[in-house]
Amino acid sequence: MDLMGTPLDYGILIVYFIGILGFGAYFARYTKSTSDFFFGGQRFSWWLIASSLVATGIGSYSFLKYAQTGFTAGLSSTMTYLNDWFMIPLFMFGWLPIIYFSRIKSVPEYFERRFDSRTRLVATVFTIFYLVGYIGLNFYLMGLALQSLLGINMWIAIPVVAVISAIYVTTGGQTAVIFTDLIQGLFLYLAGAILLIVGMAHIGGLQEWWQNIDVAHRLPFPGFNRPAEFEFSGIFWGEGIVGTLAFTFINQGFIMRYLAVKSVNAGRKTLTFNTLILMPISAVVVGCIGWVAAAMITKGEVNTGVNAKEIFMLVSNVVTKPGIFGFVIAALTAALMSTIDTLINAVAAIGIFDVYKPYIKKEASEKHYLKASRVVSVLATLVGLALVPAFSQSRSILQAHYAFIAMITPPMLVAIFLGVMSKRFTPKAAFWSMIIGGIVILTSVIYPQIIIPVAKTHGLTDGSEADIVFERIEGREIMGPRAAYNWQEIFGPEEGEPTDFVIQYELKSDFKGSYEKEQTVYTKLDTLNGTVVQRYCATLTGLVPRSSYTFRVVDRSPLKQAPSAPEAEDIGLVEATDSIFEQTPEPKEIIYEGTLNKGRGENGLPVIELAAKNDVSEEEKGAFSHFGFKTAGNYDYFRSVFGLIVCLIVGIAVSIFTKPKENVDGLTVNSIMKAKEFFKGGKPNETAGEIIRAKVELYEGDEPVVHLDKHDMKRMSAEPGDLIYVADARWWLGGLRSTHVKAGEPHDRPGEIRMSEKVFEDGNFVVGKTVKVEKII
Amino acid sequence: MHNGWLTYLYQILVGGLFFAAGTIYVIKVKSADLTIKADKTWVIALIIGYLGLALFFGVWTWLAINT
Repeated sequence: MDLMGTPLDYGILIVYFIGILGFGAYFARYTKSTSDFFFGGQRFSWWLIASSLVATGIGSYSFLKYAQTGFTAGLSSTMTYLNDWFMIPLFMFGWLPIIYFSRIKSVPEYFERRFDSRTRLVATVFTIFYLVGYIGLNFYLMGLALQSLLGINMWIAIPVVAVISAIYVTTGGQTAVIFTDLIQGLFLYLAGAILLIVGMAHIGGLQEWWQNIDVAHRLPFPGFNRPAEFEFSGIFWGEGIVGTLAFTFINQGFIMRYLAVKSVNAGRKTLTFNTLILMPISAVVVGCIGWVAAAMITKGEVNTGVNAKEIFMLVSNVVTKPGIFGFVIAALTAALMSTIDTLINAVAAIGIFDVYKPYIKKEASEKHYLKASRVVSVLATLVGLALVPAFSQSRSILQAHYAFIAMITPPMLVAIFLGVMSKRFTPKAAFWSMIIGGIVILTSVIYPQIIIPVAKTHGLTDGSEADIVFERIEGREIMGPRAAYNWQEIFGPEEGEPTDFVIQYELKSDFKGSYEKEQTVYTKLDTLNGTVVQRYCATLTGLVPRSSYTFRVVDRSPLKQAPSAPEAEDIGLVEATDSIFEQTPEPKEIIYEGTLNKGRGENGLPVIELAAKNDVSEEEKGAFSHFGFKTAGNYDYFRSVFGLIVCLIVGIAVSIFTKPKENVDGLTVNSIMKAKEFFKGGKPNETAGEIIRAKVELYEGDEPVVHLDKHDMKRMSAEPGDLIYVADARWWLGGLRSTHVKAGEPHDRPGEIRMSEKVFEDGNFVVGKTVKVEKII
Repeated sequence: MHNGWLTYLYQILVGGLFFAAGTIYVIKVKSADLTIKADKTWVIALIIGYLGLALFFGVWTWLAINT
């Protein structure tokens, strides 16, 4: 396979790798305990965690997937990034204060404290299988991306990225993950900004771009219940409601980030800024190339037969120059690494807190557990790597992994959600809703028909029909790429005019070279910024759900253009004799049966052409791919809603007949005050106060308190015994040099904070530097 | 009415129901204690966020359909 990009591009990539490795490994010095290794010592500023979440949220395939969706469905590709706010109150005032104040270290640990040990065991098994499988899957997808996009052999790319990620995660832990994510997040945003600016400039500016995309591409949401692969109602319920709850309540990597902030209030800032500001930006970053491509199609700048899956590399290579392209590729790699490092750290946390400590070595020194955490990180990476061949060799293993995720997510979510929201939810209800819910959901993977009652509530097709949409722009033709269009957004069936086109289709497994079924195609003429766009749509019926079909488009207009003998005679054009028609070639219909992959063009870009079957030579047939589509009926988005309903019913029903657990104070939303008392070790002080600056005065010893001036204490509204956060005053350190400590008895030297050498060392403070002091609780 | 407004209204109204239910519940059980200044500020921020998003999507939908 040919390598894409120039030596300069690869030089940038190598410098990036070395830089990230050195940067991550540097933070090993800040990791002295398992709290540092997994939670960064709970000391970081809100903005640092927010930027880290950017890099984690943009995963291995985001650029490719959302560029494709942006190209086919338009700006509605942002929908999955922009519909989290509705469920945020429950995280902000429910789950976040519970995990933070109750010092929950892992999701399974909550299961034991809120329910019992057997429920924790089920949650631990579910989580480990899910996370380790996810590491392997991410390695595999990353390798696929680098191989298909850059031509780099995946069996070289995967180990290289795995080793680099494992080195900085193992040495620097969560602190390294957070700081490398900061750099990777900046890379991602810079790359996105570059792509957006050069892409728009290439089109001719924002106005020109807007005029060259149609209404269906401009809207913030896709069609209500069509097309099946990207429809509004499924995304709203599956991603916006269930997905957001799942991501915020049971994603161990996400939770660990929020446990790394200096306070719950800082966590709320992170959450708000991330959801309202950063996620929309991320949606633009990953989707913008697809939006640019959609306008380029209208302007005739992209090959009409382009494969939507290749749109990211195709267009970014066209609109960028050597060097910048390397930067974009480095950003793509950053997206991959920043997801994997979080997963490795999360698996290690579960491994230590839910397996090693409770089952293997209950009592050991902090030093021992830190060492064990590093060993588990390496093991998690190795197991993830070992799964790559399995994922690459068997599609059924890949599908099994997705089925497993679908199976465990709703049960775990319901158990945590009801556990958090109601004291009445019982341990037996949690256990049985997980077991029965999991079994029912697994059954729905095998028999998706049982989801139909839920999916039908929103008018989803059962897979017995499908819309095929294509366009002819200024005489050129497009198929496939725009299949994600909701054709009712373009025009309703009653608005279109019947054409001479028909779509002939057949079940792929039954196809023996002839098509049994056909459907008339309807059309409507439109103009887009002066460009004539002929839109064609057809609804194919009588299909088998969840099946693959092959189809072709037949243009019968040539048959009409040459008048038939009786017609010609009628209008007096020719003398209708048999001899004339014997000499004139009989007009033939034009059959469009697929695309031709013609390799790579002069600039290294893939050339794909729409081909009429009539034009394809014998030699070219090897590069010929038939049109195909898959029918709906899997209800991927609604499966999670279905699972949630089943688990809720089981959970509530079992709760009615069983006894709730006593003493769950601090673990439910209606006992947050108890959690605060537990966190502080005393009555919380919630009075708002100022943040003050002070000079450090050291004294010998290891007293775990700091002493402030009495006037400063008053300004902070702090009392002796309150929990205080002391941080180096240089904001850009993001809390790297900081600590939580209790306030001791005040003194009377304004602007001075007295602390023991131990506290000074714990906070990694620097002699002579001013600190900021803030009362936490 | 254009289909774009249907999806907009669904998102804002049905999503709004979840948002309102969650917000009211955390206030009712005093997890969001409105007597605490920080909590009150965050509840106001949540509501402003919701209204801001509703406005943002509304303007976006209008621009998509009418420009």
